[in-house]
Formats: sequence, structure tokens, C-alpha cells
Amino acid sequence: MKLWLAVACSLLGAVAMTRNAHAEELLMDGNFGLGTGLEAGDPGTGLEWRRARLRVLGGIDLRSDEGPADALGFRAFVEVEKRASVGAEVRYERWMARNFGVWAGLTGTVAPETLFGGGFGCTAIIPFGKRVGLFIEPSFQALPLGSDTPGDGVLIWGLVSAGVRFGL
Amino acid sequence: MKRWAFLFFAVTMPLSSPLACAGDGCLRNSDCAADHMCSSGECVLKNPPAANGGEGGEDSTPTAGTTTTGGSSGNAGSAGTTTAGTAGSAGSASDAGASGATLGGAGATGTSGEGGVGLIVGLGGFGGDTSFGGI
Repeated sequence: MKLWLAVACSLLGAVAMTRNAHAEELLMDGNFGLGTGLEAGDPGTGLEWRRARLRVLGGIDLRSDEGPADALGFRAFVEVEKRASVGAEVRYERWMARNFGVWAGLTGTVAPETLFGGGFGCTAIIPFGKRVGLFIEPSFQALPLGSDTPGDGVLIWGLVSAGVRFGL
Repeated sequence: MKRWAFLFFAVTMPLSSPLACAGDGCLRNSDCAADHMCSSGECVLKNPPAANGGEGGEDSTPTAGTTTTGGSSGNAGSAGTTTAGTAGSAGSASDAGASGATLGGAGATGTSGEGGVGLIVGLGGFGGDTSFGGI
């Protein structure tokens, strides 16, 4: 009898001491900034470099609180010079430290011409408080597909983006 | 302060580089207007006009036949006054032909002045390429 009483008390105590299990939470960070850099391609006269069009970009990064080092990022951008073009980007991000991460992903434009490719880059954050910071993001991208490249050439972007990053 | 200086440098450096002064050349098709495309660094029409545009001139040949008839009438008018030779340019070939035919008939009635007019118009038609065919 004493034995069963001891077992029951132990079980009761164990159950009472447990915490409610937390569901996995999704952490979101928003980004908004500007970007430009260098753009290269071969329009038929050899490789040419020029300044890339200025772009306005925005997006979110999603990550789990159980594995905050891994994140999935989505970006939309508008190139605001010459004929404005609209594009998007999806990327896998690996945060090496709280304020520094590397990423690789797919990118492209959808209007007025199409352009698709991939690239990689890194993101450094200069924190301004707990939830807000400035980000600087150099990247390199190669875009071989789409109707926006003259001929069968590859368009290359070497970009630097900067802006505000904030927790949502 | 260093943060802001670094940020300012990172953003303005690409914008102020000499490469920022891009020329009029194109690198992407979207650098050009909607009805143009980028070819060899220049914007060209996607659908250039057809090279055989001269066929339109051939279409005017039947009109030239009418003009030829007008020229003959003009010769009839030449029996009138010689001042008709000072005629200036006529209108289009077809108009000259029609007028020549009408006024040439008038010249046949013996009215010299009207005959002269007929010659004038006849020469106008003669000035066209198609009048050679008629003669």
C-alpha cells in the first residue's frame, strides 16, 4: 500500500511540475530598402558593365523559434529606372551569428520582360534597439533565362542593398 | 557615428561611380521602348517595316493607263494656242489624265483656249512615269 502511495505521489508530482508544451512559433522579420550595384551582360558586342538600375525592395524572413539559424526569405523588388520592372526572390538563409547571415536563392523579374536565375549573398545587420536595425546586403546573381537578355547571354548582377530591418 | 559613415559609404559608392553614367546603349531588352528590342547594344524595332514597300508604286500603274489616255487628248489640244507649252506641273498622274481627256475633247471643238488647257494637262500627265507606257 505504501508502495502504491509513493508511486502515485511521484506521478502526481511529475505531472504537476511539467509545463505546457509550446507550439512551434514562426518568427518574422520585415525588410525595406534600396539597392543598386553593377550589371553585366553581352548584348552582342562583348561583355559590358554598367551601373545596375536602382531598385526598391521589401520582404520578410521567416524562421522558427526552434531553429532560428535557418530562415526562408521572400523579397519583392521594383527597378525604378528606365522601364520599371517588377521581380521577386526566394532564398534560404543561414544566420551564422545574430547579426550576420549568408543566403542563396532564386531570383527573377516577371514584367515587362522575364528574367530568371540564382545567386548568393550575405546580410549584415547594424542593430538599433531590440527589434530594429539597418541591414547591408551585398549579393551576386546570374540570370541566364528569360526574355530580357539579348540573345542567349547571361545577365550578371553584383548588387548592394541597404535598408531597415524590423521584427514583426 | 562610424555606423552611419559606413552605411553612407556603402550606399553612395555604387551610385557615384563612373559607371553610373551609363550611355544610351542597352544591355537588356527592357532598356528599350516596348516596341523595340536590344540588339548589339542598340535599341532596334522589333518588327521593322517590310523591305518590299515599292509594290505600292506598281499598284498605281492602272491609273497610269488612264493618264496615257489623257496625254493623247492633250496632243489634240496642241492644235490650239502655243502658250499651252508653258504649263506648270499638273497634279497627280491620274487627275492629269482625266482632265486631259475631258479638256482634249473641248479642244476638238475648235476653241483654242480650251485646247491649250488640254495640252497643259496632257503634259502634266506626261511628267509621270506612267505616261511613258502610254506613249
